[in-house]
Amino acid sequence: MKLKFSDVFFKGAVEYNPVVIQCVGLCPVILASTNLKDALIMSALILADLIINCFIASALLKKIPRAIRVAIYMLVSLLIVLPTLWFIGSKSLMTMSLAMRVCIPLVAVNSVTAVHCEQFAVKNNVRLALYDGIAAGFGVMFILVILGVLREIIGNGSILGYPLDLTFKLSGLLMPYGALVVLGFIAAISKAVFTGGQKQKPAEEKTTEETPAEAPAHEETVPEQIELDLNYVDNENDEYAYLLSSVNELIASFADDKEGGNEE
Amino acid sequence: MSGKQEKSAEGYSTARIFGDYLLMLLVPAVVSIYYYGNAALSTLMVCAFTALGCDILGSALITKQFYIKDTSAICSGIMIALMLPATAPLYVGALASAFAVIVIKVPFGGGKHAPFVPAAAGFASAAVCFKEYVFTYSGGRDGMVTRSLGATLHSGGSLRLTATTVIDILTGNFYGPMGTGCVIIFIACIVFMAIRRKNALITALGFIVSCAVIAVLFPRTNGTRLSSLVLEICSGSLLFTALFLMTDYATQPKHSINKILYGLFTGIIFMAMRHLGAYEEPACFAVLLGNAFSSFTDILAERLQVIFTSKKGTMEVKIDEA
Amino acid sequence: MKIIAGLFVTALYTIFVQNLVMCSGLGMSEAMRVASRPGTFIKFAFMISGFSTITSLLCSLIGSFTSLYTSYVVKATVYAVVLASVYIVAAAVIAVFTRDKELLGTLGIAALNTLVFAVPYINDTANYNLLRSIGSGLGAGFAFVLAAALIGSGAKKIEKNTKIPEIFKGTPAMFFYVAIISLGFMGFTGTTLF
Repeated sequence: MKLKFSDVFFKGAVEYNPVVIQCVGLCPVILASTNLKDALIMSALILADLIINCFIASALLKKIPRAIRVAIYMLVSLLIVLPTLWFIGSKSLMTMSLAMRVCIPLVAVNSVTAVHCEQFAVKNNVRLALYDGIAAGFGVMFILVILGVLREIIGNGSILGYPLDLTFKLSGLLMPYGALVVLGFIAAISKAVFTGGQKQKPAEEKTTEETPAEAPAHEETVPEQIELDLNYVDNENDEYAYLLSSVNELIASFADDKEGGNEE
Repeated sequence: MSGKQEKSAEGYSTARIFGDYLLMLLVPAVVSIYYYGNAALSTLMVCAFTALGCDILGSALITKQFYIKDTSAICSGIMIALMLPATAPLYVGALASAFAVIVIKVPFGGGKHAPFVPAAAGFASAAVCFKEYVFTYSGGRDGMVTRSLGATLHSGGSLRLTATTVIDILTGNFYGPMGTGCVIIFIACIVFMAIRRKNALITALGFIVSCAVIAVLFPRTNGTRLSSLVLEICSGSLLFTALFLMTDYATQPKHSINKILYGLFTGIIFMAMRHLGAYEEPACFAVLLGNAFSSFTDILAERLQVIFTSKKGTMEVKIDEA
Repeated sequence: MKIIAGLFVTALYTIFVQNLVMCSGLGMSEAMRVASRPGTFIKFAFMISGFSTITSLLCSLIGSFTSLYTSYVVKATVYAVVLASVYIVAAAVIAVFTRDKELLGTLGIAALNTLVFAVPYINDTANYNLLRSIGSGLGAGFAFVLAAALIGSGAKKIEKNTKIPEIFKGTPAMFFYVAIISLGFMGFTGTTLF
């Protein structure tokens, strides 16, 4: 069964959102979402970075050793970041916040790209890799825009630089902890909407089906226990299983006190 | 720290623990109203009712359960109010209380299970958001000393310990957080807690001892070491923190050694922040870090226990289920 | 002595007073993922410290002895190329001498993350001299490990807490927990790094 873009998009951008579910790409999200303008610039950068890197990873890098691939992702990202910096220009850059000036080059090493390329793009065809890149990019964009709007309005009392007449401003929202609190609520709302707040029972309810070579039915195969893929090791499970590697599994890894804290 | 029991590990019901807190908080609340009048009363009411309202709302929306006897939200609200200046805008206290309940209490399953002290988190958030209001003291009765002890220490000044000054310190006749200045009250609260829940005082003791030692060894004032000790202990919300935040039911460790280490460690962070930090009164930030590091102090306590116990049982450290 | 003290103070500042992970979010995703493997903390501390220190040292030296840093674009390029080169050399050495695939995998995470790449920028913004840059680099690795350890202990507490409402279980509770630790660290400086 051929995967449709809508299936991949919904799962990659919303249900398994890179930021609030997978907890990747937190640094640019925290630093660049203090206002909407910076959030939009960062979203565009990350989206472009993901699409291009996923395409290249799937099309060209499958045979390259992993250790070299990750460096190539960084250098490819630089090819997107540097023209952006040049386009913005030194004068405009100096008017940007320090956080943004540092954050733009940091896109080259952001974890969203590495995770999605290593765990999906290199194991699938170009079409699916592109779908995944677009989905993840939009997933990050949703969060950045929501955060940017909220943090700028409530934290700074403005929107896109235009001041609003508010009684007070919560400047704490402009701090990293403010971003994390808002992310926590977004994650909770997302969980409530998609799971209905009910306890999930992934392994017992879902069954593994035979999947076509090209397009696995990812939504029907959910493994019971996903190892946090620290080393980006090949995951024997379903191709979309990596999307489940999130803080939930981090927490579950401490369930067994004997294993928690042990070296792999 | 199991949430499955109705009673705490200490054997007391949580209704009793928070009821005791409410009783103890009543006294500094009354004193704050005496010193700061209607402003203090308004702040107390707003904070308490905001916390309660957020708790009810959170319970209605999320957990679908609300325990009338669970007064932890009201306690948090009052604690926040007492650490604020009386002249802070009411929305500062309201937002701080809302933060404490909505971000700490409700998401972590209630005041009995939160990994951080809700009042500390709420106040810390207010301090970051509204620094200009939270550390500006004014509006007290005529006759009050208008420079807070914390400000004196922060600027490296000193105070001669005359009889008048000592009485002012004991009665809280200094500008400062509206409910944390009257030392006599806290001495009375210590006695009360010693009767009702003495094991909880171990943490407070560790906290005060470490602060006292650092105050003597590294004075911020240009006066004597004794004046440094008195000023540091009696200034700001140190005693209040020791009594109410450090003895928090959910975050306090179970065993005595753990409690002592937790108190000592938090005291060290607190004094480091007083010396190096950006805020005049960083107690809540120190408590939050102490809560975060409590797992490590527990590990250290276990190691120390291993060192001091022997296989033959010649010397055993009694582990009281505090 | 004064020189070493400056290095030490900068390192301590980077680890405790303005913890790079908790106060700015640098490397936070990686810290969350490493948190479940406490046995790897020491390895990560040394790798991240090593990469941060070497990268920032080389970037400082290039800046001192050349006039390459004519614009922000050039600076970003040089920093990135230096980091990538250091990583590739390290990977090559490990591949040739140890052939340890696991180590190679973790090397990528330790080297190519936002924390390591931000250290040269931090040193440049703060106008650190060479020794302070080294202190900052050394502190970065241990700041990362401290953050990962705190996050890991938080995950344990969250796992043991059976009273967390269903919608807050997992990621939401974790975000709140990390947020409050970040708030706690603000007691030192009252502001963020950037």
